Amino acid sequence: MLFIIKTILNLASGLQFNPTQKSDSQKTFEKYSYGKIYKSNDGKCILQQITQNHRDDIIAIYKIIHEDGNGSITVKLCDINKYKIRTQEKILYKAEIGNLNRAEGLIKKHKNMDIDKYTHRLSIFNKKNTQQRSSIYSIIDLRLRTNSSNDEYNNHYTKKIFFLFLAKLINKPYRSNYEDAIICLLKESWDRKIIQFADQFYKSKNYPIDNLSSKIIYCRSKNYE
Amino acid sequence: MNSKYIYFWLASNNLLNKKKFKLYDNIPRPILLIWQGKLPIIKEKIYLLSVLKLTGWVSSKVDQKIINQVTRKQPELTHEITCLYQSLVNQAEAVTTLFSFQMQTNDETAKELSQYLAKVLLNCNSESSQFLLDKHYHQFWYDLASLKLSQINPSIVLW
Repeated sequence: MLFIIKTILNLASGLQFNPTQKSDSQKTFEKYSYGKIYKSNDGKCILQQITQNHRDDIIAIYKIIHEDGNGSITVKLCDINKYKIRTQEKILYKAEIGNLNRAEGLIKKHKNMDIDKYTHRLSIFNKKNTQQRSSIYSIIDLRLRTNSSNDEYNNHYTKKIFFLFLAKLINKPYRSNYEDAIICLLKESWDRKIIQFADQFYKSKNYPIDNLSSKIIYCRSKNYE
Repeated sequence: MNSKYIYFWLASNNLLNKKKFKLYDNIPRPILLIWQGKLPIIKEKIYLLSVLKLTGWVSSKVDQKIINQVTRKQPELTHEITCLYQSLVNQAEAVTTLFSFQMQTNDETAKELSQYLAKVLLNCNSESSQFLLDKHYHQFWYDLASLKLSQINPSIVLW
């Protein structure tokens, strides 16, 4: 009798736990949607475009994975105007719960965003292996917006520019070793090359453009151990 | 500077409370409201956060005690928010201004901003206590207050 009761209880507890696990996995699935995938000509690097649905300041995320490596490069593209508003909300929240040190750091970050001059913020992260947390490599502010005021139209073009730019980047001949390839990729002067590429892209489409410009906010240029 | 006189006025009338940091709003004009008392993480200091009206001063007397005439940074400014602190251990130590700003706004907005700042003072954790003990963090408080103000009403500028 006891055994039967125990089994029923176990079953009931199992039933209680299962739906929550399902909803969690569903949530993560809803948050990220995996878009286009591109493989380099030599088949060693893979580029993937990921779109997020839970943060409206992030336009797109790109991930570059090397064939033999377990680490990766992640490129995050943000709308700087929305990002600034989000940072402001975060500052006020952090101060309200009493974490003033964090709020001060975020205020410095908030002051550093020039929304009149630049339209996008690009953050490049790299990860050495699966155990390591991905750390920031560099932050670049860019002016990429065209004269058109339509946001969706602009975002569509910037997404396309970045995908093509990264595809071009990973097609260069790199050494076979994963770490060498990552170092080569990170040591490219991204800021100037993106501007050049965007300029060519817009000109080929006959699309009216503003002055495109860029500024490096932070760069950990030295040693990749 | 104005709130310092109010501090001394309160002290001379024995209205300074050395218990918990609390709101008092039944105080004669030109003071709109006062948050006053000891903060939970700093035991040896007494804090005062006041919202002061810069307009409508009929006379410079409040309850027969003279308060010095207000100094405004700009002629059109209407409200002042100030935070002061004094040591309870050493009474001879001067009253220090933690932050002080003036603005042109209405009573509601000034109250809302002061409420937010009071919440920040109250909830401040022990790791970031230096922000409450050093007057050189004035710029931080100015930035924080102007960010909050831009959320409430973007057209108002802090002075």
